[in-house]
Amino acid sequence: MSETLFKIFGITILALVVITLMRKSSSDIGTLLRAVCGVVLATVGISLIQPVIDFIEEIGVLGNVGGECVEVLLRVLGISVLSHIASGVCRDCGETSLASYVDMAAKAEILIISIPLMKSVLDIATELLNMSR
Amino acid sequence: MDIAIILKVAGLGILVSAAAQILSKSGRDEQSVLVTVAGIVVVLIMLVGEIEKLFELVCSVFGF
Repeated sequence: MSETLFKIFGITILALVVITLMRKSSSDIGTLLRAVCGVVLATVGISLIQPVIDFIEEIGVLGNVGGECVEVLLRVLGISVLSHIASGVCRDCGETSLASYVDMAAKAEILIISIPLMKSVLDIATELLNMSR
Repeated sequence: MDIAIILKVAGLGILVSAAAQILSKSGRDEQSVLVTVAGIVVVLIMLVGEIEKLFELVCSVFGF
């Protein structure tokens, strides 16, 4: 486990040095190297996080909260990770506006995904109000 | 391991930029442009493969 972390740190620093060196001569391949680094490190990061997510699912099953909530939470997490990577790469290449478009799209998608959850909260609230009358 | 591809892309990038500089300084500008474009295309193909792997992983882990 710690070997993977050392590899990640070492190779990231190497890639950083190479990107800085290539900034003068050919910045195109530097941009592509940045994108590749982002994608590969995200893949490694997500495969490291996988046990944590399995644990969260187990807790959701035990806690009787309802599989819906845990599912929505996990999807929102996935969307936010992906949009973070994409907007980070855009910002590094100097395209701040593209990064903000990506962020906006991710926020819209997250809101859309959480609509069923908000509906169920409203239903529960209405039931409580009806019962209390 | 997945991380080795970063090293491959970095090595390719250094090679391509060195070759492009040598070619352009010895007067063959068109060939240097061709070498740069070829390097960019190869790295793009690798990048698309990695993006596909990332999306499959996100779909399987986060339950899309």
